[in-house]
Amino acid sequence: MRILEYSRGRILIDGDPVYLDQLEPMNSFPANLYYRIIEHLDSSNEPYRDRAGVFLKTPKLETTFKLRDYQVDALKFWTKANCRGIVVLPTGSGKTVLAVKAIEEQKCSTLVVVPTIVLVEQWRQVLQQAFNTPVGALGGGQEDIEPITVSTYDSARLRAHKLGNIFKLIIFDEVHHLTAPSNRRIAERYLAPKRLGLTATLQKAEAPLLILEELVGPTVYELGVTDLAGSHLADFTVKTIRLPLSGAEQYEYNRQYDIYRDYLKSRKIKIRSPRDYLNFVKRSGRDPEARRALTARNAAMDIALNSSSKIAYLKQLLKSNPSEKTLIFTSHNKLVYTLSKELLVPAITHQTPQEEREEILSRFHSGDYKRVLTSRVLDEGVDVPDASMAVILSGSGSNRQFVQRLGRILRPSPGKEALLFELVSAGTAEVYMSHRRKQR
Amino acid sequence: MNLPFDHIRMFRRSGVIKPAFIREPLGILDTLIAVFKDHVDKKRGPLNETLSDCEHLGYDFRMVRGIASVLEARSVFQSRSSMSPLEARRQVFTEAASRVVASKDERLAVLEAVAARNGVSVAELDDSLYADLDDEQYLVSFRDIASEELMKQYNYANMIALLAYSLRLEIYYRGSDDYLEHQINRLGKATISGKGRIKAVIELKSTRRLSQRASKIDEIMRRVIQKEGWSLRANIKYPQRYKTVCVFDINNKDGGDLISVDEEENETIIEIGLTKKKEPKYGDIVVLDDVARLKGVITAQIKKEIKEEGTRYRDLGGVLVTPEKHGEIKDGLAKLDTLGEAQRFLKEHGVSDFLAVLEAYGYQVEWLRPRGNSKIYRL
Repeated sequence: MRILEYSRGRILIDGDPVYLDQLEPMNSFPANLYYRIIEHLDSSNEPYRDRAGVFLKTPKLETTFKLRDYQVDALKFWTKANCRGIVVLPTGSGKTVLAVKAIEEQKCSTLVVVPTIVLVEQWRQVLQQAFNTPVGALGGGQEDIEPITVSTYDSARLRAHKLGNIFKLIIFDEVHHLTAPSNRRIAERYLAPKRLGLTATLQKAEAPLLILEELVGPTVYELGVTDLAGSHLADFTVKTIRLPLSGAEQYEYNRQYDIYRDYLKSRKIKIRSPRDYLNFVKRSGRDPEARRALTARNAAMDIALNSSSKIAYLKQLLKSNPSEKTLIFTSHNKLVYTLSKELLVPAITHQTPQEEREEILSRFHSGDYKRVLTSRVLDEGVDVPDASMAVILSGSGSNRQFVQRLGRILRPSPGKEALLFELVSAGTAEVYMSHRRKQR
Repeated sequence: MNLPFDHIRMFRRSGVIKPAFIREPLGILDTLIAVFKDHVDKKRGPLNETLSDCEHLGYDFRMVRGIASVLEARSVFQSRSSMSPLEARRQVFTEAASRVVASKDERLAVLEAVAARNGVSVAELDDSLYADLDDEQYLVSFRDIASEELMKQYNYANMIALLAYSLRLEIYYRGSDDYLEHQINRLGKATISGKGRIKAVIELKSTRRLSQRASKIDEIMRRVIQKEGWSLRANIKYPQRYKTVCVFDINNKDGGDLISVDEEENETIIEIGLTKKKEPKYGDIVVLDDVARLKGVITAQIKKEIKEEGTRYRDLGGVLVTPEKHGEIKDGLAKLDTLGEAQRFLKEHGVSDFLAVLEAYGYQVEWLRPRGNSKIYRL
């Protein structure tokens, strides 16, 4: 009779080796293949003893949370897929509630893995409130294990060898983080047969999507912001405003961008993908000319992203919408602070102390502050109070970032129509970036 | 000191690796000294911008940044604010929240109202708003240096950064030195032999804690290069993913004249002017391994958080101490005789892993029973 054991992120089989898809039968597998080994052994009717999964016992789990129709569908599809898969729902559409219901239905020990320490606290509060039971936390100095535990990606990875076999269900919040090579190890080392991935944006073109499918499961349900706008999310309008650079800015932009372009041309380098760009950046470490070209490109983009006409337009926008709760997004911290000093608007960046950040968000929530400036820290991972208007002064070409930022203004309220202004410098590479971030 | 690891410059050929020493006082040395001197009493932001511009003067940008970090270690930056930046922001943003501030006049009106309430001028309030940001700190003093000396100190810092990637160090020097031997033993598995001419061989494992290793090697090398007839052979695997181990040789005659250390080396001290000092997140004394273990992260993560927080520490090799606490601890420990006294003294300063701190300050323990009566001494 075979005996299954869990040891430091692997399933060890004492007895005859098992053949899954490999070239040869094996006695040791990554822990994430636990469910397949069990399926295989069950279907072959061969006797075995499972000492690998030592799942924690859960208290009675009941909640009064109610699901919306699309959440019911999402949960149904996930359950049908053997409780393995990814649910894609826009920001503000209730992914956390869906996870709570999944835990309630499965009634098993659960590890929720989240990207930041702030989110550990947010999830913990929601779960404690939902089930009225203590919820463990890992990360930020906390090491408290309960049948339902919330952990950061980092802590889950570091403790995988100890905790890998005590949770039956693992929920990955912002599951796209799992594609990072170091984070993949979490999914590989935990044997949890039931897995739920949650995200607002899953890029179709991403190569690691296949890996995600193997580690968590296929995408079982997907809705975009447009699917829910007007019903469960507020109606919204995205206005892309193309603004010309001033004469001096345009001259300097062209001068700098030409240095970059001429270098690429002279070395016959073509930038067709992020990898090509990365190779160019690497080259700049050893080639002074490449370094010059890189800094020239950065200087050109600085001009395009932070142009004076954008600032002027922003002032106009704020003047004409004085009562709208507005989030202003930029790419650069420097611009955040310049604008904060000029417009006397509170700012949140990675440098903002946690206490001050919480105070600003709480005052924004209560309406004491009508406007908040931020760089990229509020794109995801922080529960941002609802706003009705957002202005993207500058951003990357990432569709994920665009969708996350849009999601910040979509919490519904009667008669609300959210406005997202995207300010783009005409005649610059930013036009292409703007086009790219709105493509899926 | 050591350079940041991404600014290391070196040559490698046929199994031999050498730090790229500057061999003659280049113009860029004088230029950068002048930049620092010109920016005394000015904010760090413009200083950083000027330093970025200097990267385009035709020299390797890593060299420019490396020299700048040697000069930064000779600088003192200070926040200047007439009121707490956090309080200034809170009051100004609250005052401005009820309206949209889009013109200079509207801005001035808000600042005047808040300034009057707090008994400061508008300019003082304006300066206080983000005085706690790095870029807003003032360069209050800079210890001048001759370009030739700067060249040597840069070479030394570059060498130490490269030596952090060593897997084996073979050091020769004349005259026994108990403190040096202690430091050598702290670094790794060491064998010390010889009487007149001492030979120390240190076997090292590849590490992620490069800063910690570099500061320990710095402690050793700054003492070694003061000795007569010193030489060093290092087996270096740089970068860590590189498969071949290369050899680096240096001695007091060949290359030794190109390096020197800053005798008065101090940490870059940031003094917070009139504002209430922000408490460091991990306290004034941080035992990295201890904190990392408690938090379940690697020490680099703690260092990263500390760097982001902006608190300056003196790195004693695994133990970080704020500059102001450093003198207090050093002087305090010097007056103590027993382990029990040291434990009590360090506990009062919030240290639980007191042995790590004693070790970091170069103390040894002569164990006695009861344990608290053990003698502590510094060679």
